Amino acid sequence: MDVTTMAAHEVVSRSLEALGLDADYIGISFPEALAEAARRVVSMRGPLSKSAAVRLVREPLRNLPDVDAAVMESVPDVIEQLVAVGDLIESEIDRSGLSQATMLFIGMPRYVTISERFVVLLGSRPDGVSPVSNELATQIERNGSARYLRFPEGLEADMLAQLQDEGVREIKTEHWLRSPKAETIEQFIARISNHLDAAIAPGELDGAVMFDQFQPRRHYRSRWQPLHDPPDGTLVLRRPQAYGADRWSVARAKEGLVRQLVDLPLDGRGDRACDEAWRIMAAIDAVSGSPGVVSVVPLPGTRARLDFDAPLPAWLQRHLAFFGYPVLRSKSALFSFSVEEDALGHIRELVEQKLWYVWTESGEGQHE
Amino acid sequence: MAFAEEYSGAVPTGAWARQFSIICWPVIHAVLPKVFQRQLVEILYHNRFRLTSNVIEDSERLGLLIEGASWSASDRFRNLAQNHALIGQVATALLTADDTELADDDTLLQSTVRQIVSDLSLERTARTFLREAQAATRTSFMGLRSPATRPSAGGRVERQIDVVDPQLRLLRSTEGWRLILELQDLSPLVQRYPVMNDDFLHRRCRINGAQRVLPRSALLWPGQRVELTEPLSDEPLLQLIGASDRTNGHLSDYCKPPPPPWLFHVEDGEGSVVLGRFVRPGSSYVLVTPDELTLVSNMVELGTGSVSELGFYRIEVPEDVADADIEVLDSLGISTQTAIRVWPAGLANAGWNGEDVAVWLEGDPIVIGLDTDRKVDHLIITIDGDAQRASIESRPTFLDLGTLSVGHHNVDFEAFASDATAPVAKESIRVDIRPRSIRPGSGSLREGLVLLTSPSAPSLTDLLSGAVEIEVLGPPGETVTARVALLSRSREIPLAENAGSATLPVSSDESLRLVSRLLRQERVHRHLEESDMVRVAFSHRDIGTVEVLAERLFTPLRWIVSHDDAHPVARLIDNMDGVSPEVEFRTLSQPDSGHRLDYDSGTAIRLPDSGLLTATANDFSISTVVTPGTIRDFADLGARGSAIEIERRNSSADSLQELVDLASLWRMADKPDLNASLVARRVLEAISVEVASGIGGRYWARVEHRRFKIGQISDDEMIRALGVIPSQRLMIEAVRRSLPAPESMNLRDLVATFSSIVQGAESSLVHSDISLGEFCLRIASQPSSVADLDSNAFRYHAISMIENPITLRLARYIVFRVDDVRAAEFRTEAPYEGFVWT
Repeated sequence: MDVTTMAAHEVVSRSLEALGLDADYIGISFPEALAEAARRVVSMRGPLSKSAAVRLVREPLRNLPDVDAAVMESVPDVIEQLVAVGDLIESEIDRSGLSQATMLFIGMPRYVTISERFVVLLGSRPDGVSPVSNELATQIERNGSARYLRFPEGLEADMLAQLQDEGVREIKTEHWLRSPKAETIEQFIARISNHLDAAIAPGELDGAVMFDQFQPRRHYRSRWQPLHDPPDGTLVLRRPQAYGADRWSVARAKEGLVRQLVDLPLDGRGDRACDEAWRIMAAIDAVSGSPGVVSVVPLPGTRARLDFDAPLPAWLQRHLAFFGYPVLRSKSALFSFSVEEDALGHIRELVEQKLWYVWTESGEGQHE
Repeated sequence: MAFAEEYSGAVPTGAWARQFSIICWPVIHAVLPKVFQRQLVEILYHNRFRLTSNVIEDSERLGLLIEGASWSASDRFRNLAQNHALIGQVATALLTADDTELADDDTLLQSTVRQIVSDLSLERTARTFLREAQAATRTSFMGLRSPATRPSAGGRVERQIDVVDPQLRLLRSTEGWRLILELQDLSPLVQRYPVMNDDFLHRRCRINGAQRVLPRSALLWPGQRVELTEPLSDEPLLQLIGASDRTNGHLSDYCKPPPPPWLFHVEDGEGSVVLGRFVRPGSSYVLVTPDELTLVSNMVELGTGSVSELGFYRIEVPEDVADADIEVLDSLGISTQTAIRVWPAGLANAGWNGEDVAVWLEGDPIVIGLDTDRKVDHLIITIDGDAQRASIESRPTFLDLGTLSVGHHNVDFEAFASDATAPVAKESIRVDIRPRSIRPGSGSLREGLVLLTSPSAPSLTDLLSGAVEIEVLGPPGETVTARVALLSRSREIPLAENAGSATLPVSSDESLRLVSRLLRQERVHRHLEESDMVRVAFSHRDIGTVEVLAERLFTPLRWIVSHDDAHPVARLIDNMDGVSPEVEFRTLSQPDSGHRLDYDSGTAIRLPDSGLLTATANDFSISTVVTPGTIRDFADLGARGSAIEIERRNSSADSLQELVDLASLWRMADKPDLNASLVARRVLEAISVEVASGIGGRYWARVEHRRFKIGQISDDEMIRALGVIPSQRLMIEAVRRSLPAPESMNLRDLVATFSSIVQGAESSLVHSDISLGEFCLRIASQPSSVADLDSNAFRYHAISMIENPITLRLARYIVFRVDDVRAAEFRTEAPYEGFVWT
């Protein structure tokens, strides 16, 4: 037996090494490390609830250098980003019908082609085994929670073939980047309204919280309030479940009571419930004159930072991972991404047409 | 054996070697046939984390590891893997091929190893697999030597125990707490005891306390959850139905839950067992106990759970634990822990129940964080009885526990103040080290898309006969593409492919229907015979692909029959690895006369007519019945008796043996289509006629030939031909009286009654498992059914029957009576209905 005491920084460097990360460049508090830890937790313990995954990532980080409350708070966001791009899969798979809760699974090893020499790498193998061989793993680049493979010039065809031979499957770019069909905000609201027209009154809504559009935008968490005397109109609700993630719903309230309620996603499958809810919330904000804001901050070189003040649906996160990568969020933002300037027009079109956000340059249009 | 002794050859071992006692020698000593090379390196790749220096240095141990890990490999590979020593030697040679220092094993010629490596290098994936496995091996030799078995405190060497015991969990539901048994990956158990492999693959599993029975192979899929609805009885937790006592004994030894009551630490609706039965301030617990508790504190509240006989008591421990609370907890047998806290530190590890059980994967750094609420000078850390002192220089303290072997380890922490002899705080945890569980292409229950098969490595026969269950799990409602591909080992491109769609989850019934429909299409079905395996894959365009490969069961030789301009054409699939087979053809018109054909390996043989084609190599022989693609007239099917001529033999036991062997040959032959079945039936009928005519005498022969030609003859005509002398008349009357309606009797009663009638003709010298009466009925209905009879018993019965031909005539009379009625109801491949011998 050879038990030795370790300094905290030694714990960090050994852990990073075991995660396959270079301690000279990546700290334990970096989103790259948190993302790798989250993939590893789900690959060893999945299926598990999101809250259990958060707990298992956070627990070993206790009392380690540079791990402050902000880092701990960022763990759910990192896991959400992994789910959004498809590194992790969120599903209600339960073979024995023991629970209808949404659980986290590892995504199988896949890739999305950005260019001949550059692909997004997704997924893991069980028990923390790298999705690719050691040879390919040396080509991995990490930016925030996203991983990419950059093939050396002249070897791109061989390495892509090797990637496929190792069982890493391609997801067609156009499929991975699919987004909701274009519709005006009026058409979108009318569609939601039609679903609610056909809905019936809900039963008990114990513990439900509602999205309160009248709360200040900059405090996202405070915009969720207990469902008490809801205002007339369309509401987005979250209801706690006995086990697992909350259930998302859209509802219509009148005279302080919820009259109709439909669980999301509206068609029962396809988009994630939270993605649909965030889009409805974006529409509610836009209609009430307080739309979501994307602030564009030029960065040195040919990149710009995009600051978002609202949660991002998975389809938008995929576009952002395709044309850029997540960065530490700026003070006033919920999420920040670094994107090539060339792609700004495309992202702008998406957020303006499908989320009805306002696009502002260099900090214009910030909400209080 | 002489080969093994003289040339140091490996002795083939295992069930397969016993079955193919001669062919196994050349197959084994081909070193590693190409078809197995890829499978071997794939297994080495998937188990590369287990390739420690201790394993690689012991080829028998490496061979055992490979056999244990081959549960998802093909049937053929599993047969080969039963030769632990040989497969271990080959694997060692491959793993150390690039390393001159390590490659000192002279069992295999280096040129042979280089050839295998060269063959593997032609395929990129195999090359990658081998390279990665070799890299893992080098790492192992550089210092990550697997820890030796740790001696216990009492000097006793403890057995290294894999972490396979199922875990108890609680899940909160709207109906209350559900008690769940979560199964671990039990494949390490199979790796340790390969003899359990067959039971794991083919037996269903009964779970103590649960109503659900798990399907075949289910124990090889980790992460399965089963709800317990009854209290655990004294029976073992897991038992494979019908498995050997040895298998169930190991299961019973390794898979034991802790005894109740169980204290669960619960967070976010899920609970894990706290082995030490202690609580911490500000945390939530559920005590599950068979005892009825008296509730004296509002800290404890009775809830409901999935087992009505058990109490589910919720315990909310306040942040400030008062003395009264401690008393309440004490009364429940629960202690309170406040002074010391430990946790797995740094690396996201494989499990932590929040209190006292931490899991790491083998090879990961095992680092513990420790903090106390009082001043501490040093720690005494005891792992499995071995104690060590560690000074405390800062708080919290991080401890590297070093390298621990796979299994459970008890770790005790005692914290001491500088001048104290008694610890100021104590804590005990269990550290579990488990191996990595890597799955092949079918996915795992940890992944978003998983394909579960039962059995886990189905054969092509299983797939085609519907004896395999394929279940695909994934996000409900999502569409997946199902694709079947017929593959041949000799070509990279599939012979045929077909695709359809399904909605997740895909049940085993749905997948069976879908796969069957995809295979039935003519453009696919016509390639089925020549395919070596069928790949069934389910793809989701976003999540990925899962697949299973159903491989044709190993047979050294196999015929593929097709048609060319109305003539049968046959091609031999030769897996003999260098042993040249002999080919013989028997025409339908002369089914007992074989003509040797020239056979050129790989070349199709065009045959003149219907008949039986046989290939023989060493002790293995395979036959198939061939027919023209177009049936010109009944003669092609042997429907007219005149088309079949069997050489007349004298009435002797030897002649009878020849005809029995001939019947066996035709009966055991493959019948690729309905026409072939009809031809074989007609030939078997002709052989029976020849047997009965030769032994039954001239008068009876007329009856036989008339019935063979026209199909049915009257009872009177048969009775007249049975016999006229008084002793014969007595037996005939006995049969008519005792067996008035033989067609409506079961076979056992029929045999018993007939045997009692003819027992007078039985030789007293006979020592046989069957009576003369049964022997006669078997010969009369299905001569091949006595092929395996002991030769002495055969001879005695045959002589008795030949000396008393009335016994066979009566047996034939009974067979005709039964067949006349049964065949009118339902016609099978058998020449005579109603006689299914086992």
